[in-house]
Amino acid sequence: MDKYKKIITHVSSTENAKVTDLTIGPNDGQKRSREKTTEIAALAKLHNSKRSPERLRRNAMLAVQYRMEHYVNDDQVTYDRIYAIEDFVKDFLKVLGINKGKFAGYIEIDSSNLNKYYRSERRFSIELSLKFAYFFHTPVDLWLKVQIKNELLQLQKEKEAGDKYRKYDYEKVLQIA
Amino acid sequence: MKVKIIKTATAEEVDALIKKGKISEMPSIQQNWRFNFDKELKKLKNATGYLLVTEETPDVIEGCMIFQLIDKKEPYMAFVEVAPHNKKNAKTYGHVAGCLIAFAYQLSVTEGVGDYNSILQFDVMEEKMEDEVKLMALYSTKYNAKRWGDTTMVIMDDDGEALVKKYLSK
Repeated sequence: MDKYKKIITHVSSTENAKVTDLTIGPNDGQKRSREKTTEIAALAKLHNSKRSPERLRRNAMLAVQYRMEHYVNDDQVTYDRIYAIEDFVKDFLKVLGINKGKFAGYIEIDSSNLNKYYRSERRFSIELSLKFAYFFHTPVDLWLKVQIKNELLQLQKEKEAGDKYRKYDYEKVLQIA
Repeated sequence: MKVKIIKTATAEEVDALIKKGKISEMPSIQQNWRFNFDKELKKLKNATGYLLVTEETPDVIEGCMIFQLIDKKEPYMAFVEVAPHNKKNAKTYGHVAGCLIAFAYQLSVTEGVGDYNSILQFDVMEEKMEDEVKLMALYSTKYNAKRWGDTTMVIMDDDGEALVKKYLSK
């Protein structure tokens, strides 16, 4: 493995680099030579073996956080592909190896109350959003954004469901009067 | 993905979006880009094209990136280019390449498998060796990339996280 250490190098910067256009490609990673594939596999394996448990955990936590951010920003998500707050919590807890009950205790909330928030029987609060954010080291507004995204998806579904709400119309009230 | 890019003339932050691009939406040499992203995307296996556009002018492509997952496990940035009007000193917007590269790094974290997780690879191959060295130096300085072997560069772990913080956390 030592031979691979020698080819991991930093590239020094030069003033002239500023004039180079920022361009990469075209390259097809699938068409790499067998030799290149083997070389990269060995370097990746070596690098991964040197990662600390904290680094590995951090990457796994970031994977969940980035998925949340992509979910919040994805306009293509529809109601049938909804990902609830509970689902993201489960993903984080899986990384940390903590069960739901213990998590409730760590954030000082009764387990059955937490389930009510998950089932939308209670309004997901700013306080809870902050507790999740601090516990999982995510941006403070991310959990609330997921909640709002899911409520908007629910709204869209209800809107498409039909005429259920058409009777609530001030014009009809004025006509009757 | 909502991002902010910088209007060079006023140094203002501008709301922009990184979105998946269909083959028909990809830029080409005919539009004064350096590569035919449309034809290349069609040829690439396990690849997705992404476009960066501003919210104000969603029909104008400011930058383009193709992310490939080699053998469904190795994150690889196959192409990156900023629009012709965003090159050199007279560019309209800054941070376009940074946002696309940071986004590609995020994909390496969410999609990379096993040893390849959180390692974004790309190859720098220019006709002239001098250009290749300059470009590698630029990626190293500006985007925290490290060299692996002759042409491959990688962005990993803390370096990638710092990139995401700089370009995507606004």
